Formats: sequence, structure tokens, C-alpha cells
Amino acid sequence: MERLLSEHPSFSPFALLKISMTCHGARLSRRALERLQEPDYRFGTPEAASPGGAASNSFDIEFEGRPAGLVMPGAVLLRDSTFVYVNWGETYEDPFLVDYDPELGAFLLRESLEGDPAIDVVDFVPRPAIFGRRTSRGTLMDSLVDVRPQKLIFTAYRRCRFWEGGEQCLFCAFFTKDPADPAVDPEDLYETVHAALEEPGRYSELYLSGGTDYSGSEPFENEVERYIRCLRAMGRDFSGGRFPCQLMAPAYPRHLLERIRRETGITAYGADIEVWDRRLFESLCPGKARVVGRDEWVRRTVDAVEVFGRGNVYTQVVAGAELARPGGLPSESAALASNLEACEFFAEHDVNCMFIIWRPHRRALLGWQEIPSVDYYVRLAEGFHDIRAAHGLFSADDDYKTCGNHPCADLERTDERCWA
Amino acid sequence: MLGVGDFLPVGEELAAALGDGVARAAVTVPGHDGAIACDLLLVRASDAGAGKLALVLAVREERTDLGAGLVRGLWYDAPVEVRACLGDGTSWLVVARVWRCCIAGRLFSDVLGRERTAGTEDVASAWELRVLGARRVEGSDVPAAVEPSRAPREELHLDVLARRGGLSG
Repeated sequence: MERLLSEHPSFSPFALLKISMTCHGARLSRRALERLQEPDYRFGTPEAASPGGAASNSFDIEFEGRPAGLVMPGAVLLRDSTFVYVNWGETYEDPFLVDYDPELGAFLLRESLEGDPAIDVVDFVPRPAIFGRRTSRGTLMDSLVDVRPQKLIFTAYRRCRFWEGGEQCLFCAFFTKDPADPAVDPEDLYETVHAALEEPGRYSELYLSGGTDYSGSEPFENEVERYIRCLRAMGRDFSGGRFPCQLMAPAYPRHLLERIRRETGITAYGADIEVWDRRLFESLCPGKARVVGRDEWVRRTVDAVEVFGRGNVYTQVVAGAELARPGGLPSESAALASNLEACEFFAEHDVNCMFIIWRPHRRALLGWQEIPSVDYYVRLAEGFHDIRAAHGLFSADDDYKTCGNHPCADLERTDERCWA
Repeated sequence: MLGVGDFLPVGEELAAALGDGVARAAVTVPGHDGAIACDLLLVRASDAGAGKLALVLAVREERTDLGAGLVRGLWYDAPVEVRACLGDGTSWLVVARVWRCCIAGRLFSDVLGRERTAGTEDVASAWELRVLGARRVEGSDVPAAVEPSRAPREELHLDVLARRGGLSG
């Protein structure tokens, strides 16, 4: 970590630590894991405490390496509230260690071992008050949401139909459990949001997504109907006014977007391009390529600005997947150029293009792969931020607080150009 | 990054003067000349690295010159100055490091609860400080401080927006 800080002295040290932890992973010491079972941090409802107990994982990602009977924590929060998502229990080559110091009363981040000096104090997303509560249908609220320090993430449909024909995005490990009834009851969403609002100042943003369902008399008709029902339920407590909420969905044609905008109160829409390179979009996202097509996806995303307004449309790339073997771009420099080209294109068309750090998963078709260097992600974050800031764009629905997934958005915090 | 042990605890006299009230302060942050107005509170510290109590700035909106300055202070270990005239009539100058930004959890909830009780509608983030030096100063006036700048979209929690009936505009 000292070496990274000396190599990037003007970059946010916390964004640097976030990137490094995401790339290298982290594990928990025994005393940290014990502390995280206590009521203020326990991030889920153990099976023993409540039949059908569940961890917060609305995208149904399968994780390994998690000790039975213990609840794994939420994400790490660095000292500036930077959010760091860690796949607890998964295998990493050289993970950080999160330890607990009972005298200090704080969690400590160490390089690797309990005897290593502390890098910094860290914290975890606190247990939300909705955990352990059930809706009137008996649904455990933990099972419906992913919870971040200020964001509630819901899924409307827990199956992705691209998996049916083996057309899923090759880096994706979402929705692998294939439940019998994948549609989430909108009334469960309403009751969970309603309950969440009882905890003062706990949330600033709602988010809805789900697996792709392109069925209907036209592609995505049934999915849009479902999203509208769910979003109206989620927004019921806002008396018909607009409320901070992003829908992340496929790239829809304009008339479907106009319906969503007209019939719900959401503030933002995102259609993730995933990968910018035309050839790689075809190979890494075969389902999206077949049902929509890369150029049409881009055109629809740009078109969405006329419906939702400048700066309220988002897209993102899965940074790192463009380098995956076989067939990926030949170097980090080529990948950086490609992604910056995407960001510039979208910024010129008033769309916020973000990136996430690709974490390979064994259930994805790409499987385990070597991921790019920390330096790659640092340069990407700087480039994406500078491009968006130069165009006067800031990620109101996707920043460090309203999302936490994007190192580039973390850099907005000191750059007053973004919102001046 | 870690500076545990480099800081001073909040002195008894300052702690007594602050009590459990909300004081109006003038804060000078990195990247800006002049002071910016902000609320100052005394809370139970997030860790025991500098005593049991901590000074906290309650920031109503973070996409502001004040918020950006506090982030700079936290990221690059640049000190901030806080001047406040307190309820007992004393005036104080505190030089501090910005230790932690809290947007959820016990410390944030404590600050939010006290601010809302005092009539402030909402607080975006609570900024825990670590004292480098603190002294009483002459006079009872806090230096002129401007209100923080504003971003195009207001930062309010969902429970506040639900009471208001959604976002304005």
C-alpha cells in the first residue's frame, strides 16, 4: 500500500485503497468475524434464528468459503465512507486482512497477517433495521435487498433469460439459482421500502434491476410492465412525486422509456453497455447482441437523455472483462483507450458512463482470470472522472453515497467543477 | 494513512462548554479562503484513539465547497480550523485533522437525531475531527462565515422526501 501511495500521490488514497482491496480481496480475522455477529453489524438473519433466514443477496450470487452458522458482513467502509465490496470467503491470492482491536474498539485493515502493522481503521455497513422483519406475505426482507450505507437495491426478476440459451454475458454470475417463481411481488417491495423509511436518515437512493426478460408482443414488453408495477410500489410513500431511484435495465426503445418516465417517479435510468469494443460486445454479451445489437444499444442509451434529461442517464463498462482471454484486447493501454473513448462518446451525448472493477467468478463462463493491475484502474478512474467533469456531468444517482461501486465517481467529491 | 496516537483528546473545558448542544461554527477548509458556516457538536468518538469524545461537524449538504474541503482535509491530512462561540459565552479556536466521514451507523445517527431535534431538517454527513490544538480566544464574535455553496440537486434522505411528497422541481 505504501508503494501505491508513493506512485500516485495526488490520487485519493481511499479510492486507491478501494481499488487495491477490490483487486486483491480481503479476509476476516476470527475476532473480526466474531465482532461482526453482534447486533449492530450482523448483516443478515441466520437460519438458526429464523427459518428461511438469508443473507442480503438479491442477485442470487453463489459464494463459497463462508463458515456455516455465521453471517458474513456487509461491505467495508473506509474512513471517508468509501464503499468497498468484497466477495467474502472467495479465494484470493494475496488478500488484505480485516482485524478487530477490542481496546481501540475499531476494525483495522492489515496487509496480510494479524501481526502486520495496521494500514488504517475501517468500518462496515451497519445492520439495517429492516433485517429480520417479514412482509405481510411472510417474505424475509433480508432476502429482497442488497443494502449499502445509503442505498437499497432491489431486483424485480430473479432469472435472466439469456442463460436459457447459453447467451448470458460471459462475465456474469448473477441469478444462478433459478427459482421456480422468479418474479418478486411488488407489494413486498412496497412494504420493505415503507419499513426502511422508519429508520431516520438511513437511505438516500433506491435502485431496481433484475434478470433480463425479453418476452412480450414486442421485446421487453412484459419486463417493462413488471418494472412499472414494482417502481410504482416502491414510490408509493412519495405521494406521486419524484424520488431518487435508478432503474438499471436493458436499452429500451423510446416509447417504453417514455412510459416508465410518465408512470413512475424515478429520477434515473441506466442501460449498461458492459463493453465498448464492437467485436467484444458480440462475443462477451451474445444475448444483448442478438436481442438489441451493440449500435442500437448505444443509440437507445443516447436517446434516453431526451426522456430522462441530461445527466440522468447512465451506462457502465465492466472494466477488465475487455482484457479477458481468449480474444480480449491485447494490452491495458489498448483497453484504457477503448474505455476512455466510450466515456468521451457518452459524455458528449450527456450520458454518465461509469465503470466497475470486474471481479471474476467461477460460475461465470469466463471463470477465474487474471485481472488487470491496480494502476490500470487508477488511470481509468482519473480518465473517466476528468471526461465527465469536463462535460459538467456528475453522478447524482451513482456517486460514492448513492452507489459506491465506481472509483471514478469517488473522485467527484473534491472536484467542484462537477456540480458548479 | 493511519495517525492513531497523534491527536489530543477533547479538553474538559471545551467539552463542558459544548455540552450536548449544537453550536454554530465558522470552518476554514483546504482549498478555500475564508470561513464557511457549519454546525459543531460533541459526540462519543468512533474509536478510542483520542479519548472518549470527539468534535463533529454536521454537514447539511456535501456537494458544496464545505464538503469538498472536508474531503480534501481527510484525504490529504490537511488540517481545518474551527471557530465557535459557545453557549457559555466562551469562544474557541480548534485546529483539527478530519478523521472520519460518517453517513450511517451510530455516530451519524447520533448527530442526525440531535440536529433534527434542534430543528435542522436533514444532515448529509457527519465529520469526526481529531484535535491537534484548541484554545480559548478573545471576544464573543465568530468570524463572518458564508453559507456553503449549493449543488443543482438537493441532498435529502428518503424519509425526509417521503414527508415532503418527493423531490421539488
